[in-house]
Amino acid sequence: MSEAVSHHDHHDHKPSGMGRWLFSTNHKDIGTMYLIFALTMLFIGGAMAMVIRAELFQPGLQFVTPQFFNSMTTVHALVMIFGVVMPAGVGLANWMIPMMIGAPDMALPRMNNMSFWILPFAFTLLLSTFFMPGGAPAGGWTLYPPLVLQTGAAFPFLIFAIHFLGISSILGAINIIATVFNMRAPGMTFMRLPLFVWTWIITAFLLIATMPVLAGAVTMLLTDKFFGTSFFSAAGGGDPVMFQHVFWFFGHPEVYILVLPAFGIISQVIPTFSRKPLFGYESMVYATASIAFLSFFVWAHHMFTVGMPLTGELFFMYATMSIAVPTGVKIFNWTATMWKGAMSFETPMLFAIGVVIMFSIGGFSGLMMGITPVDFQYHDTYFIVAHFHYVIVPGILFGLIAGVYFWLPKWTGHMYDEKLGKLHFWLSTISVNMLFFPMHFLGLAGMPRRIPDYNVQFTEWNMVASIGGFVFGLSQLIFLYLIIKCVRGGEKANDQVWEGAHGLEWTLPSPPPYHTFTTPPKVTEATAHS
Amino acid sequence: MVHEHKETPAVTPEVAAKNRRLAIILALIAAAFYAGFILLNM
Repeated sequence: MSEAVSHHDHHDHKPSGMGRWLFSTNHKDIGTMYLIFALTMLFIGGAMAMVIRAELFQPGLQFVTPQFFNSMTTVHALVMIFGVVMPAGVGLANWMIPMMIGAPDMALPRMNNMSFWILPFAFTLLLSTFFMPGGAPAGGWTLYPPLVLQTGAAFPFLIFAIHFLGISSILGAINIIATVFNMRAPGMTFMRLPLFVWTWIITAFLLIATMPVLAGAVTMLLTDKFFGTSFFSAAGGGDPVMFQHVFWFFGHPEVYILVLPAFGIISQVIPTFSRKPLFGYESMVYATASIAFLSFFVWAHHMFTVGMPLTGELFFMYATMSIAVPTGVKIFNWTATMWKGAMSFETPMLFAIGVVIMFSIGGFSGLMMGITPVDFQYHDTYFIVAHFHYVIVPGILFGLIAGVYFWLPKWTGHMYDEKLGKLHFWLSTISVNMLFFPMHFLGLAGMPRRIPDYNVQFTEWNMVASIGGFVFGLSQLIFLYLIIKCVRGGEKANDQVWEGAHGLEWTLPSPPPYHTFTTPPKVTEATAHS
Repeated sequence: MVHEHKETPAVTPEVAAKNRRLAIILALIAAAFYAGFILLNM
């Protein structure tokens, strides 16, 4: 145990009661709140997905009106992106970054509290729209005008919720950058940072560059609706397609905002359970930075069908293809890390391997859609739905789940139930493929996305997808039960937890004291991750 | 009492000032992107 910890152990007092959570400036408490919030939103967004899959189980209208169905797809996406994946990533960053770099806390603890507490407020605004005249937003999470301008009383609530979510993300990003730049322990040079920290710095810069663009886009929607401007109204001299350009200038980097922290997590997990250092640490850092840089030049591949000049389409096609190079470097490095390693297959490793394989499926279908002429066939079909769900669910969500399993014993001081963890993995993996793989076939056969009813020829694969969806949804209850069980007790975890784990966080006791590294530890080449 | 806790006891006033400065610069960059994108569309 480090001198820094023992120094503070004997007066490791923490506040109690509600005040501990409401006014917390402690990175571990705020991280816990982010993670609990993300898990809660996962079940809310998941319930919406269950409504969607129940309605699509067979053709015809069974349970909900088309308007409500469209609200489900719209709000499901907003909840999963802004309420689950982003907060879960920030929660893991809050918990782990200070411990990984040897800092006592985040750089700006009060701002950290604020960036969390904005979130429940923003989602109350968003979810309250279900009870408003005209219902919840139903124009799709991409908010394209003029359709989104037909939203009823919910419209300003939607816009303000997105503004608040953006502010929360920007504050979180600023905090992470300030923490890593100014609070590293002596000897913790940039090239000794754990990959999870690296992916988060790059993600934080992406957030600062792109969230204001989304905020600008929705502000312009607001003024178009209420203040007589015509940014995106053709009748007033504006251009609705311009909204798509602005939105996707945010939207594509957003994909990497979601995925890079998950890449960071599996870059920690795979070396641990392969009992080898990460293969090509430096190339991983450069690949991550390259992916982030290139993500600013590919946005229009989301809108090949709007009628761009051929030169533009070719540019965006080639730029999109080029992202496969650094992504390929990452996949290669993870595989090479496992190569000839003394591998073991505990639950975090299973989920991490799941990410490598199933994210690649989503990556390959992404390459297919990046090819302009064939994208005209795929555009707005279930093929797209299959693609981005492969990226987000078995790609990103599995990565986040791997992180939770990996660090849960460190956070709670207890080992989780390994048998239940493996059951969770296998049920989730089988069902997620049942859920999303058939969507490729449906899309190629021409089934459009965002419809509550469909032609009978699509029935069988929709039934398979729905059954997969229900099983996947129920499997996540195992995860919830496992977490509660682990928090309440279980086999005691030692400080290192995993045999192959290296890094400052594993030198702390499990669970770590309320305040850690009050005296910075000294980091050497031998103790650093690289 | 919560306010009796000093959550970041190892942070010196110099580091705290550096943190604040960096936060202000990054916030200004974000604000500039926000305003810039709206102005570009005018």
